[in-house]
Amino acid sequence: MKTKFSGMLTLFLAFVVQLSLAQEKTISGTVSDESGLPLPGTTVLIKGTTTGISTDFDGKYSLDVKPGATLVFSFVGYITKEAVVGASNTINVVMQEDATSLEEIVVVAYGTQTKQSIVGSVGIVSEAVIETQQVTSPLRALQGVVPGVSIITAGGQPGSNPEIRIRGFASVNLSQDPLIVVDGAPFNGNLNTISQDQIESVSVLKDAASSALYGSRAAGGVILITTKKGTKNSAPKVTIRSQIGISNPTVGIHNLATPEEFMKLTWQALRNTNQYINSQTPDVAAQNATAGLIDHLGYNPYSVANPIDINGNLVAGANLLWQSDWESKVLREDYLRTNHNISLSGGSDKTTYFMSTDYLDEAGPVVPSDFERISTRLNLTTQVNDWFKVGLNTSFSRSTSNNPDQTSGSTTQAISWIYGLSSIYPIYARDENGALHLDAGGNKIFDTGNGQFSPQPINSTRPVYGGENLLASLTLGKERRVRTNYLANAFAEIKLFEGLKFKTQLSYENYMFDSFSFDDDKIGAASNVKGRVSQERNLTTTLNAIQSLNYTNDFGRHGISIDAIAEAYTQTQDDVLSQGTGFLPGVTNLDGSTTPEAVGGNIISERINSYLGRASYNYDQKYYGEFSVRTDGSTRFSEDTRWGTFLAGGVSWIISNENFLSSSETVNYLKLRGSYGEVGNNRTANLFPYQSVFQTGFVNEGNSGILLEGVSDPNLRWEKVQSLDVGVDFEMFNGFLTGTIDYYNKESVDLILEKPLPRSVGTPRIVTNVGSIRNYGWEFAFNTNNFNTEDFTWTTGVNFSLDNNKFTKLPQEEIINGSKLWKVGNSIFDYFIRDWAGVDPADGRGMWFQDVLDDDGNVIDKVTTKEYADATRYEIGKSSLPDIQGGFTSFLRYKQFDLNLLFNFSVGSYLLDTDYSRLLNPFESPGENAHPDNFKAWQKPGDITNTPLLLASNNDHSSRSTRFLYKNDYLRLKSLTFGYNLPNRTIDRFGISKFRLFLQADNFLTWQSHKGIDPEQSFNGLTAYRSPLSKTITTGLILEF
Amino acid sequence: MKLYKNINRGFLTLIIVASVSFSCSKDFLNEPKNTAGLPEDVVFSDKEIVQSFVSGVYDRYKGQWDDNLTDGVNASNVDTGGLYAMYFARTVKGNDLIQGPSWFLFDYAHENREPGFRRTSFTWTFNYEIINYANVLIRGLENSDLDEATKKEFTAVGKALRAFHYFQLALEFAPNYNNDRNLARIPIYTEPATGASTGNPASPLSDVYDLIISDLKDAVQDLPNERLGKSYINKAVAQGMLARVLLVTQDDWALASQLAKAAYGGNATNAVVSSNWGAGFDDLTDQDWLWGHFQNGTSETNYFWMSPHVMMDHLTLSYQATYVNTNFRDLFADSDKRKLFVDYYEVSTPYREFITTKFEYTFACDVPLMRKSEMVLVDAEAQYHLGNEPEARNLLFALQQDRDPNATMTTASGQALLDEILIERRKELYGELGVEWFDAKRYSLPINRDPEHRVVVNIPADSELLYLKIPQSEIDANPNIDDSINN
Repeated sequence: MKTKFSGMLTLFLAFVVQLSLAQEKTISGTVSDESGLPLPGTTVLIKGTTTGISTDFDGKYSLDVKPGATLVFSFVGYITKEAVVGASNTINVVMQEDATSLEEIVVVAYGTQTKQSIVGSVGIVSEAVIETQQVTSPLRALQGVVPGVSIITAGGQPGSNPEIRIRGFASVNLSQDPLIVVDGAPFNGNLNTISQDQIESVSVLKDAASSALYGSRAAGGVILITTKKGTKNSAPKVTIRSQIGISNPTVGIHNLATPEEFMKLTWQALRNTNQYINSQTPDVAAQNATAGLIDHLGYNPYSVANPIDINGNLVAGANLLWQSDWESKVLREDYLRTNHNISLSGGSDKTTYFMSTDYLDEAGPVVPSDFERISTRLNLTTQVNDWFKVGLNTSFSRSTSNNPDQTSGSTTQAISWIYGLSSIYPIYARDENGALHLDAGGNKIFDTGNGQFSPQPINSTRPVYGGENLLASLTLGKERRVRTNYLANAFAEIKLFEGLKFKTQLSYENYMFDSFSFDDDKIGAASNVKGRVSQERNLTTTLNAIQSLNYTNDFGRHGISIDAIAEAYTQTQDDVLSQGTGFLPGVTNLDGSTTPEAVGGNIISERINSYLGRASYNYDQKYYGEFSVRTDGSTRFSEDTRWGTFLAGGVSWIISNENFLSSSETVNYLKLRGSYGEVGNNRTANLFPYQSVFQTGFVNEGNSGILLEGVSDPNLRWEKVQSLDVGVDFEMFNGFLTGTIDYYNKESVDLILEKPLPRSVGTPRIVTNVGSIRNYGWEFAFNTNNFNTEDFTWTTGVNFSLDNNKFTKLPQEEIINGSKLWKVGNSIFDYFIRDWAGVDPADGRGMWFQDVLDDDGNVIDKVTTKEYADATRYEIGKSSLPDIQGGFTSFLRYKQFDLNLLFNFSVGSYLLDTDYSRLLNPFESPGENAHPDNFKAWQKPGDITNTPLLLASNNDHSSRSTRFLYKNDYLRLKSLTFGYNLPNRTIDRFGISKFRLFLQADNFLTWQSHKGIDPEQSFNGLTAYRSPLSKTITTGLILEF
Repeated sequence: MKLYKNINRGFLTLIIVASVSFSCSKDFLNEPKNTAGLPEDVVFSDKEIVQSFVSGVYDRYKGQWDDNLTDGVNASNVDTGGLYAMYFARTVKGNDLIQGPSWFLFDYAHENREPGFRRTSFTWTFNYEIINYANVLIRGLENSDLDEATKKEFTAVGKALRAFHYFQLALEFAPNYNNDRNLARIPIYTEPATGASTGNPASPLSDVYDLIISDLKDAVQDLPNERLGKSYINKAVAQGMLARVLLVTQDDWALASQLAKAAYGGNATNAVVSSNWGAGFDDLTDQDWLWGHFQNGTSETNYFWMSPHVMMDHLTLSYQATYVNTNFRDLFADSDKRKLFVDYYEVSTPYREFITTKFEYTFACDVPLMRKSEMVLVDAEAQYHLGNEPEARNLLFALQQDRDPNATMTTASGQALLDEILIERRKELYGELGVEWFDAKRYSLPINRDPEHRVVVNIPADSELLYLKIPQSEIDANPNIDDSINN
């Protein structure tokens, strides 16, 4: 109805105007975006004049124009279009989104800038990029999108937050994480409480110039998340998105031996130990292995007493009584992911609003892991009068997840259990003949392998994981995590006079992490205390106040902008723990506990007080310069070393605005920029790292106890990163090719490191400022606009980075850090391990290389040794850091169909797969699971193989060496979206402005050089029985009206 | 009008600045305090807090040790959890008990002495950590304004702790003291660690033992008999510690006898009476017990960590890992109340023939660290060496007749008498302190394993298998110790 009326009005006006001004004519039309949605608020200007109009709610406009004039259509975030007025009275325009738009407003530290005016290196991820992915933790969307950003998500628990590193590893001991800032305020909650639909853009501040204003915590870079807002003068718009799909583990886990294979392999190991270690004759060794096998394992899944004969084969007539496929019991397939979202946005001429509610329910690969979240947001802004503006951004989120252990490495961690326990051990208790034990009610009883039915000579006591049963702890126990996040961010802006603005912003965040764990009262670790409930409630509150003054003005060709900012930040950690035992069956509340076991808690705060200044200048929008200074006082350092001052500056030159290039057809835009500056890091693990105190909470015979934690350096001071960035941004061939190239060099100095002390001193290390590390590399991003017609669009993009990491100073010449050697010139992640030299065909023993030294310690020869302890650890020239990583994208649209692909890749990193090595010759610890690759083992003198003989006695064959170091290259189709938008003419009839159906697949395909494990493990290249990530295929629809 | 408007804005700005901004003075940053613990000056300002530091050490003894507290990287493990684990690793090295393929299996197989191994690293780091606490205690008291009585008492505690752990280091990381008293393997520290600390060079064993003996003599002198509980060190415990040291040095049997007597109270017949035999060996209140770990099952429990009970008890949920050598079982007369052996599994595997019910595992089990009965046997041994064989026989019999009503006094003499005393030590102390290992080491005896064992390793006298190598982490970080120390 309304549409009709305004249409008539337009017609009427056109008629009147045409009558009165015969030499002008009235042009009208509709401005819409690529998907056919009207674009209200588009500016329509007559070129060369200031005459113009904005499009209305329906994207319509009408304007009196002289024939031959040019109309300029512009809208933030879209490519500006021009149209010459011809014979027709109607000009309809389809605006194209412009990811590289130079006039695009970019969120930067404490404000916004146009993309053109930025002097530093800022990676932008728009809503459009995030939309093509299903990321429960929203920053996973950065992977493969922004060059220089490394992301690893460890383990398949849904909702897991990725580890993010920007431009390498700027710190060693302190947090390397980027600072997360949401709508201008530092964020201390859990990222997975933010739903992806609320995010309008993410800015990644990579260099010093762009991040120095966050100086105190910007060493790992800064990620600014900006949430969506409404648009002024727009009708309420409702968007509904609904997605349902199924997930599966991305990749399978390592292969595992069947019971028969396992029995044969264990027999072989026993025989070898008898024969080669205990010097028994081959016959006796084999007989003893046959006779001792069941005793060794404690369980016999076969129907005969000695199932493996003296030749190592299964005896005839031996029937398998059970087989426990722990993998299929614990890892599931085809689990659900559901996501629904509804949002409402709009605005009057004074007020804008955005409201959103998102519901997500996602299961994970490990039974019964899941993640359920509801998150809501309301963003409101009101222009009270021409000089006073206020706003409130507020959000609430609550998630509940079942969180079975998938990453800790402990006994009841899912993958660890699957790898740790052979399939010969039954899930349910068996008697000595293999028949099921049943309880009084006739139900099966979980087998815990610690003599439940003692004295039962076999099938009662397991040599591994006694007292536990993973399935029992997963199904009878409970591991629940509840995260509640409330965020309020209020601001007021006062325009004091033209160009001078005062802004005050107060943000408060309340993040509550609630964990509840119940260990069963009948089975497992808490069975002899009748069950255990442990509850933890950790409250993190952050209060941040910012006062800022900004003056911006242009004087002729000189543009200046000056900021003066004061900030006060308080973070308080308030933790409570309570634990009790003694529960009746079926009771799982702490109230039901008859024996309190533990209580704990602490309230501790940290504060930062900061003063900041920024001045920027540009001449004729060609030459830009920016300088900033920040001084921070942090409670993490003593009064004497508390304050750190960080300076940064940058310049840029828009060469394409110079006369000699301005008319170039080849180069449409060219910008050179460079920046240098310092940022700091105070993010120590401990809030008072400069004090060593006596910890409380110890107890002996009812008397309270305290103990001294290690020694501390009272003069500890800020760790600093000195960072250089040089970059070029360009656009060529009329927008066909756009790109950015950056070189960076960051040197972290005064590294807060653990300086190793000899253990005999009584404390193994001290945390102090020693050492420097350098990160440097190249980043590239190119986008091409291959086709762009009314019906067909095809764009492609590729981005990648080459990152390097090197120590430049250390407290001592060499520090061995696990499998890595830290020394000047090496990276944090250069492997330093023993070098596998293969298997001696004569005796089947594994060999490693060993340097022979002369009396002066010089290497004079290299030999092989069979003693692992004697083998030399070498710098083998391999690292867990990739040589190159990045991603590529392709977007295709044909009429109403679109297809978006995003790949990410990593090349050149090495993985030390100890998940796999554990499965190779595990027989020294009876009962641990084995890989079928053990059949490749050496059997008799003369065998040529790379797998040493199996032994049931202590040996180092599977110890850390190059034998288990694998190239970990991978390419992953991270997201695939195939969509169909119903044509406007169809949906108009239903009063709908958008109707989209789509299919979305995340992590759908993975190509990897080393199989059996998810390629995303850890930056240091070590494995830890992590469950694989999920690949998810969903179908969804978007409805907008 | 315009002016008015601007003033209005300015006023509003002022109000907002005043109401929202925080006091940006020094106070804002000085207010937060480290609530995670107590600074050193507070600790040494009050006797009660000093006492709690000592209590903390005993918690550490019986805890689930890792070196996170001191910012290290060693993870906690059942076989390296505390003092009890160090002792149990010694226990499984003998012939009398057999460890199944469970925790401590590498100690049992004598495969656990290399510089990179967990055992080596734990035993070294744990003992030195406590030595540093002792040094912090001694120096902190010295620099404090506490009263002299307090200083004297707790300095004595500090010295007892320091000596006890240097003694453990000397036992674990060096061969028999009397074979080469000048051998340098153990660095000595008598000052607290600071950030400037570098590693000291290894000192000759004689220096280490001189420090141990002098510290313990001071402790015996200054420690009171009163204590907060039997998990604390008092005068009697210090006497017992020094008596044990003298069993190793074997150069002052008179003092050994005197100290042992003082520790058990002088009356052997009364001293050996124990309520724990047949009752699970888990009760600290037994008059026989001089010193032990305390657990209450709830707020003070170590869960499934507390050896020997958690390893040796087969009748309850635990590791059920330790078996008894049949031949050891046969040493006991049927009427001996210590003959607590059961053919529980009724299997034919030789090593699994017998288990013992000496130790009953619960979350509340206490663990013996020193008993009067041991001291009576120390006295007997000392009397033997002093040439007083009748008294040695009397003391031995005092214990034997309490344990076995049918016991008769031995008539042996000379080496045979000493052998009987050593056998009695094994029968009385099995599972507790690694008595076979300790005696083999100090008397340079072999440990030969019977064929019944799961892993048969025979240890010749003075074998290097009786001590650990110096950990690689020490060699890497200590400028005064290099790889040659392990040659």
